[in-house]
Amino acid sequence: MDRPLATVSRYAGYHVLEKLRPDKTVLLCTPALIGGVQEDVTFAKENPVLVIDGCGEKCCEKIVNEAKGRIKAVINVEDVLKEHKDLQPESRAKLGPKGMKLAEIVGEMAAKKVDEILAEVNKSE
Amino acid sequence: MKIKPKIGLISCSGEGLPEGMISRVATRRILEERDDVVTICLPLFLAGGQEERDFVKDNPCITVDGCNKMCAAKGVQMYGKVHPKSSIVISDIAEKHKHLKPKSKSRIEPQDEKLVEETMKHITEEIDRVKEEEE
Repeated sequence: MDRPLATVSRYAGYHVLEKLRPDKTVLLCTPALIGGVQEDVTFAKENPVLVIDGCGEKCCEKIVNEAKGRIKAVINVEDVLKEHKDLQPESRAKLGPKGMKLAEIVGEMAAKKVDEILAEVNKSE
Repeated sequence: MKIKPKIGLISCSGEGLPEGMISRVATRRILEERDDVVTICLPLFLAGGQEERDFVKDNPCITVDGCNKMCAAKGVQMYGKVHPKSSIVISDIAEKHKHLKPKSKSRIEPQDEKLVEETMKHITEEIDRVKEEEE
């Protein structure tokens, strides 16, 4: 929670969950996976997981791997920002219009990944 | 000269529930008000960030969890090998003070402000108590 890109990551997740793919996605709390909360760990093991990390530390990806979750795709907000350098968020408390636009772009990328993952899962069933 | 340790406020990441938003907003507002506290990124701490883990070992910490899963408090114990000096749980505060359950995970609604204020009051009291203990 100490970096603006973490806030972008969170808002991108909400964008997918609330607007873009509300019936196809759920949001998991990252700390619950490594804190041993069984229902969250079981969910990540039994369902495909899309990770949205805020920065190059890749904490979310590391934690899901540690919990043996089924990671199917990873998006890193820092990488997306490199391609949209004009969309620098204002602060961790207030993303501002540019930061919100960045979150929407990340959300749209995530929604596409969701479709690809589900298509792959349906094909293999 | 003895350097006073800063107090670490560790908010739950809490993307999955509205109380997580209350936890993060209350923590952030406290950080903006006071210069004797810092925060650490909980996922980075849990993922093995050495700086974060060293901080938790060397400084008193207060966890601010959204729900009774208490991931922040448990994480500090499991990976920091210390007990937080205080553990605050938003859902308990909401229940105790009969606040309306927050509904949005992505924004603070006007009716959530009371719960944020109540949480900030709890955090402030706990910071002051922990500081007094440490001195």
